[in-house]
Amino acid sequence: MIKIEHLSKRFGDLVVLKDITTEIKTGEVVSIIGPSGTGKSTLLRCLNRLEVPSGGSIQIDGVDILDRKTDAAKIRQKMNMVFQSFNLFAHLSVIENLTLAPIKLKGIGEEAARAKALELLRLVGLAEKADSYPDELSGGQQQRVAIARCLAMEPEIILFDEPTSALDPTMVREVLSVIRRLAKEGMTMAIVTHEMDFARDVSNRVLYMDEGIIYEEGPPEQLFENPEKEKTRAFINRVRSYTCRISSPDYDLYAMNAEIEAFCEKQILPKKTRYNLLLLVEELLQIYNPYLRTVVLEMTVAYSEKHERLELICESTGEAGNPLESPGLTDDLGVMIIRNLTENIDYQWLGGKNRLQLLMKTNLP
Amino acid sequence: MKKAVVFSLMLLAAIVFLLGCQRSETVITSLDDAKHARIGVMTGSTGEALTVARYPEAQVKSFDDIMDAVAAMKSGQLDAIVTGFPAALQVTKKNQELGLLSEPLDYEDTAIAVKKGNDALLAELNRIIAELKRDGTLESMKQRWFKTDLTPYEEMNITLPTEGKPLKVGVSATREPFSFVDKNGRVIGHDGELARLIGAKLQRPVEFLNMKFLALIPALQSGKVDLIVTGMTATDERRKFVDFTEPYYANAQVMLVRKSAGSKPAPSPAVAGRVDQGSEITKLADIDGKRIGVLGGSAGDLAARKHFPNASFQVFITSADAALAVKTRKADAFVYDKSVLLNLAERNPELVILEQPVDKLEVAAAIRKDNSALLAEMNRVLSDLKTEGVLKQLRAKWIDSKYTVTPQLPPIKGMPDKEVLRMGTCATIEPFSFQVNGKLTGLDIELSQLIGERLGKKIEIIDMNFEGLIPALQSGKIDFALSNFNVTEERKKLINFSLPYVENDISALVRRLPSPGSAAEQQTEVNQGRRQDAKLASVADLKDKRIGVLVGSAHDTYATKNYPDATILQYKSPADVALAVKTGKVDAALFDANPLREIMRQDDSLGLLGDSLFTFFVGVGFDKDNRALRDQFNRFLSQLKQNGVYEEMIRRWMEQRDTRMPAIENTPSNGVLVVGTSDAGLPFTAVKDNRLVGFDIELCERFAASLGKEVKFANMDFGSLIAAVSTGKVDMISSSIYVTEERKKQIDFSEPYYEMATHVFALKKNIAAFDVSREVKGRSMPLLTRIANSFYSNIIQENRYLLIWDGLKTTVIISIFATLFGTLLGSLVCFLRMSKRRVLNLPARVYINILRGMPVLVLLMLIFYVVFASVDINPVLVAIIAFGMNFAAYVSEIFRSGIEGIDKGQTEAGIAMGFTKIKTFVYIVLPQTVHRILPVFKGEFISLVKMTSIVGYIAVQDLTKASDIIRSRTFDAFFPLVMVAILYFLIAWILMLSLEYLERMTDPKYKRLKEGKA
Repeated sequence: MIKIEHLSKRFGDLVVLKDITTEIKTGEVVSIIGPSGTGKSTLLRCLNRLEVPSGGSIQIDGVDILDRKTDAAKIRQKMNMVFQSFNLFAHLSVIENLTLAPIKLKGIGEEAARAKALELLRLVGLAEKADSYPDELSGGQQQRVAIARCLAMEPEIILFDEPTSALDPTMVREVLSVIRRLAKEGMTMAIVTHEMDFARDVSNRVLYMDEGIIYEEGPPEQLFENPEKEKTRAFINRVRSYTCRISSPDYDLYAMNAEIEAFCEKQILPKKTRYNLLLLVEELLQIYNPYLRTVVLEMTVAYSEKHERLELICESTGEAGNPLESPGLTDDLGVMIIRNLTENIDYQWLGGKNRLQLLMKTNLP
Repeated sequence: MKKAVVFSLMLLAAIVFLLGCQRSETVITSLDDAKHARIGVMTGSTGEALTVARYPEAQVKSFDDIMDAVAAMKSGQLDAIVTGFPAALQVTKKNQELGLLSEPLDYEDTAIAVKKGNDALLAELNRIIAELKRDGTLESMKQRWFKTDLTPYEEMNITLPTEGKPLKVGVSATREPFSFVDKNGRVIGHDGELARLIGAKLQRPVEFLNMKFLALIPALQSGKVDLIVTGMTATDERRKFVDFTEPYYANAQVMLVRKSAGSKPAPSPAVAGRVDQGSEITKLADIDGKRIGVLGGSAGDLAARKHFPNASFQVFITSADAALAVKTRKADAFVYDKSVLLNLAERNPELVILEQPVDKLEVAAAIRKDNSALLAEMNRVLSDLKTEGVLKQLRAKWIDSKYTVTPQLPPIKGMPDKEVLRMGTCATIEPFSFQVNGKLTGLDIELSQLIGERLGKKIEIIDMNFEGLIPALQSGKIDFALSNFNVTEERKKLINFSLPYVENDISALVRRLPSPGSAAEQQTEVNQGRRQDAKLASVADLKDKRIGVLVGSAHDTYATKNYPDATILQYKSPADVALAVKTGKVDAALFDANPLREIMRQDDSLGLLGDSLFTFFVGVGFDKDNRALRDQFNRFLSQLKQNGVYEEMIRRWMEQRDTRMPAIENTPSNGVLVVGTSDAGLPFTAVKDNRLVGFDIELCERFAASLGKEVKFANMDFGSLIAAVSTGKVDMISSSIYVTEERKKQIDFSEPYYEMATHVFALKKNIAAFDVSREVKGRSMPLLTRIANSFYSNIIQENRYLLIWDGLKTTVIISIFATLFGTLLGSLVCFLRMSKRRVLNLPARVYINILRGMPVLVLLMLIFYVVFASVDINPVLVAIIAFGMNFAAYVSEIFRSGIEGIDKGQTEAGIAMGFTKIKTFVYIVLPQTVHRILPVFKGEFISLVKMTSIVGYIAVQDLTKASDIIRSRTFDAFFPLVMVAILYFLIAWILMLSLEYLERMTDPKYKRLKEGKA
């Protein structure tokens, strides 16, 4: 029911959305994930024209909402939004928050509106808080009320803008359960979220946004298990990495070691792991040393939070060939150490470079 | 709780302290004393200009209203106030501790002001004024409104038409007795009555617009009022902006001061009420039980107390003060040394010495007790002088002669650098020891010279207070004292006395009774008192006095005809007439108005008595046979009037008092024109810088030029003029000559070229209207009584609380409507200001900056006088608009800050739900904004309520104006102000309560509280 074509949005010189084209069909639950600052919220806010796009078109049920002539207010009544900061009306009680729009916009009588409101509150489990004021509720309760408020207008689609980002873990669950329930009942939803597990459970489709476009999209199983693109994967696995580039044999070994140590500290890796990593790096560099006069080496230490695996990736230019298996290798000891530390060593000739992927063992002494 | 009690007690104490606080500052007894004083003046008045010019070193503070200045003076912040005479009179009536100095600073004319160019109305008003002068109405009005006592005013009953275009009269009704309001808020007073009279004569209803004095001329210029009748002085400055009628009252700028200590009698509790006042004293025994004035410590004092045990005593410092007290009926007798009394009686014909002396006394020299050597020498000299009969001569010369001109001291047969004897004296006792032209003279002084000669010593005389003489003797500062020292037993204990050199009686000085059988005796006591006071209150008083006139003048004829019982004395020149008045040779004199003004301008001691007696036309005189010349002159005169030169001359000579003669072109070829003239005084003829100048002179010069003749003036005595022209000695005479029937028999007159008024003038001290003496009431009234009195006179009397109630209503109406208007306008401005479009938010920003940067008073007057200049609009409406506009500027910014303070998310939520921008604002943002801004809004609102106190400037009678009016009647500062402050507080508080109600209603939690939920 929502067709987005070549949507773009810029704030002054900053281009947030380059070119977005996608569709949300009725009954779909679409999750939008991605790193911060990639325009996820912006995209959502464009959908109900809270932000005015710089280009492209958005059609809702065939009506181009970006056209000046369309009555945006009327369109918006078909959809509703749940905000990260809840945005409940501070001067009204909970039940009044729910009844305000139906009474004022839809002309529903007060009695009927109240009845419906109470029902919705029961749905979200907050019927007893009907006469409380927003500043008397906890975050989770407020967000649930916000959802109920949305439902009071009987929208066709609900947009969720990071609904649980402002909540602590205990409250996150209560809100997610409500959303789950809605999904079960077939409500069309677009959810911007950081809760990966939730997104996987609830969505029909997941959009991964990066670099101002929809970087990758697909059903949750595919995206979460086997993301096609590197960046997606990195994101999904919550991969953290450190890369350093060595172009001459006169590189500063000690500085590099220090930075690798810092990286490990940041990832809160145990001392043992750190030690082993440094050892591995040292041995590898020994092996590469003779080549460094003519070859550029790029070494990446990648740590996957999700799998808790540490991986070392070395990409070097020069002639094709696995450095570890080069004939002139004098240091057998070194290679042996390397093999002892790693679980898996993978060599590829990829993109004109020698790529060596070493997966470290997890339970090293 | 305790802290609150302590604090309020301290506050109360502070208020009480301020109430009773009196500070003593510079004492002013004559105009010169004010040179370095702090002088209060009325802003923009003639007094202000006068004071600043005359006292460049004084600190001059200007006030809007006289009662403000009076309050300042009473609290010690001013030493003097310069203002118009009627206002000053009012002040002294209500405030016994303030008095007027007898010399005014200047004279001025009070006239009606009309808009420049409104000649029709001006002519009408002049006509009416002349009429009222002629039929004596103005005189009667003056009598009734310029009273010296506090009896109620008698107002003339005038019926005004109720239909027709109303005559709008601008007044500043806080200037009693010219214009003020009665208990019903009606404008009354001399000018109120005058305005009504004018209305009656013009057959138009009269509408009074009461506003601050400074606002009157702008109101006249902008057409809001048609004329101003409010005791306004016709000054040259003002004439630039408005036109004035002929004066209807001759005013003076006088100085109000605090009464000096010297003339205050010591408060005697028995004075008020108990003592007999005013019944006649014909013999000594009558004095007992009355009020006797004495000089402290004198022999008279002792004698009086001994002989009149039932009397009450007032102690004075000088005999002049004591005599004055008797004259003005503050005391009934002055008991003192007869030789001094003789002198006083001579100078004050209304006082007389009772035949029988009270006691006898001896006058001797006083010498220190242990200086027996000097005592012996002194006695030797005195007995020598006695035997030689010198003492008798002295006595005859100084005491018995009842001299009118002070006798001269003989020259000292000088022997310089001899041993010095120091003599002490108190030089305020005529004829013993007193000052004339700064020199010491008198019997004691001459005696001291003789003593010095005989003893071969140089006498050094030291002048001091009487009380200081004995201590000075005792401490050796002086060797002896000659100062009408009466020998008393008391004194003998402290010092030695020489042989007496004068023996005297102690007598009583009392008021003279009228001789039995005269017609005057049948009159009421008031008239008796007035005549005994020898003050002239009106021209009617002249009928049995000595009147001075210019010989052969119309005044001469008039006086002779109208005052048959008076003594008419004739003088040859105006200067002689003036001198005669000054030296007391005549009681009053008649003279032409214009030259008279000049004379009085230069001489402070002369004053006008009443209004002009009569007016005459002035013409140029010709020989009866010289018809031709006369006709030529008449033609010339009408030409002059037609081409405007006449107007210009009148303006220059009569109004502007410009004494420069213009250069007149004349190529004489036709002979000589001889003009007889006399020194009649400016502006007609006078000699200045050795040449003749004046209106008449210029007129004649022009005439001569028109004939092509050379003009020659023959300056002679006035009395000779007629003779000179009828015998052909001169061709024509011009010297402000009145056209009278008498003269017409002898000579022919030209067409009149001016109309002249004749006035009576006399020494100011003889004119009742310039009376200075006041008695100071004892300050012994308890505080609570004072407060109760204050409350009564300010609130209850004349139903003044109704004035306050009306003012209150006006203030509340303006406050509420201005707030409503301002809030609505402010919302609009806020909306514009918050718009993103420059075309909308720029005007809003400009509006806000201008309105916030301008004082509200300026805005108020701009709107009233400029925007609505010729529109007849209710000033209350103007006030609402002005205050509303000012309020709106602030309200819009308050709204904006409130709106921008609401979290953006609220708006987003609303929009996301499908509310339009407007609906989002109304249902979601606005309720939250209102609650938030109410505290600041309340503050601005209360500010507005207080700001409305300035609407008096555009003639709205609000609460503050009501207090002004009350203050101008009672001159009380404390009560009206405190009352009004309390009322403003109450208004603000009550209105604020209603705002707080609104605040509560918009507080969402409050609603729940009311419903009893937790």
